[in-house]
Amino acid sequence: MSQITFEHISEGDREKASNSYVMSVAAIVVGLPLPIINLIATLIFYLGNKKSSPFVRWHCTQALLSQAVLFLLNTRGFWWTVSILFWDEPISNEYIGYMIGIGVLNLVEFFATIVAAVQVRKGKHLRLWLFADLTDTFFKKNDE
Amino acid sequence: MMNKTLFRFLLIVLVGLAIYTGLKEIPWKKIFHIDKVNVELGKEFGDQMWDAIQQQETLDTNSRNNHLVDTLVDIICTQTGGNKGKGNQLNRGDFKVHVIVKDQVNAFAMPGGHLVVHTGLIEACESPEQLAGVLAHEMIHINEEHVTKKLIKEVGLGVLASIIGGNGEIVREVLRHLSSTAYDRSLEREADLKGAELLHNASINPEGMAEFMDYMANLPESKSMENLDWLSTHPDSKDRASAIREAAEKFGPNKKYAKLNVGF
Repeated sequence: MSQITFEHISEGDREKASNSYVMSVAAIVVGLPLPIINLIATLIFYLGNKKSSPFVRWHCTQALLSQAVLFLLNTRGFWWTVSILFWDEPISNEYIGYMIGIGVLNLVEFFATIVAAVQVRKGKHLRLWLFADLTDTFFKKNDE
Repeated sequence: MMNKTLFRFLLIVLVGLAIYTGLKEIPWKKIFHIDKVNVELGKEFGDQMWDAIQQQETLDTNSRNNHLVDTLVDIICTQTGGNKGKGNQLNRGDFKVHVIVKDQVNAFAMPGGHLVVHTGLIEACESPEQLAGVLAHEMIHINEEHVTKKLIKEVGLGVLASIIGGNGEIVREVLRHLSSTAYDRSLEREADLKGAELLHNASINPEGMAEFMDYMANLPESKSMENLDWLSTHPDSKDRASAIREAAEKFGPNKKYAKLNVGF
């Protein structure tokens, strides 16, 4: 199974594909600290572009998958924080370590998403490590 | 390619777990001085609160009341008997006891070890054991830094509310209400049960604490709402009295306690 590549990408497709990343970044800014907002925004954009060109759909899928993984980790952090604020859960080294960990991961994801948005806008087929492979698998299955 | 994807996935999971395991072993609380900051902030806040109260309220100059409360706190801290003869071994200097002239039946703890008792509460108690019960309850609030923990939660919720945005004041109120009811009750329950243990360790009958709860529970509602601050922040007095009696049973069934002789 080889990597999926795209040729002759139109200006409109570049913009749409780039917007799939921009959506999640914008939603992160708006939706903090609720981790579900950026996932919903990306999901809506993904569903809205189901009939678009393969290039747009591929990048919508990559954006969605990367957001979904982060969503799971952020959700754990969110509820952990809620239980500290609302119940008698103590602040532990484990909690601080986890929050620092997902904080760094969110930052990396944030910058990776911006880079992806810029590169895709230029028409480059940017593949994020691991997520691109998952997207290929997902994309081919859906196309079959 | 599927194998490569799977390998990469497993690799990232393993690396993630390794980083997480490493991060949680780092003594972050020590690095950020979290506990120390809490204690120092709490102490400073408590001292300021006490300064403000002092300016507004009349300190009780009646030596009998002051002597009575001081002696009971002394006894709870140092008298041995329970806890395999070891007593509580509390540092008496950790508690700064103040009596203020006020009819309201109230006592409260503040960070920094300030324990404030209204004269109305002293008069409402029918035995020194009842008063000791209230004092032990408040001493647990001080020892466990309940007030500081509550304040930190309130500040945390305020920050959360402002991040969520919208009508900040409403969000803050809703969050505060949701958290405070359940949280307050859990702290009160803890103060009751650990307070009863303090009494037992100091050879004071915890029944006095339960009796005081009964007294609160049996007061007419109108009177309790108007005058009894201690009750309004400490709901379900009947249940609490039962819980204290249950706990006392576990300390030593049928244990006989000597009556307190403190010139009550």
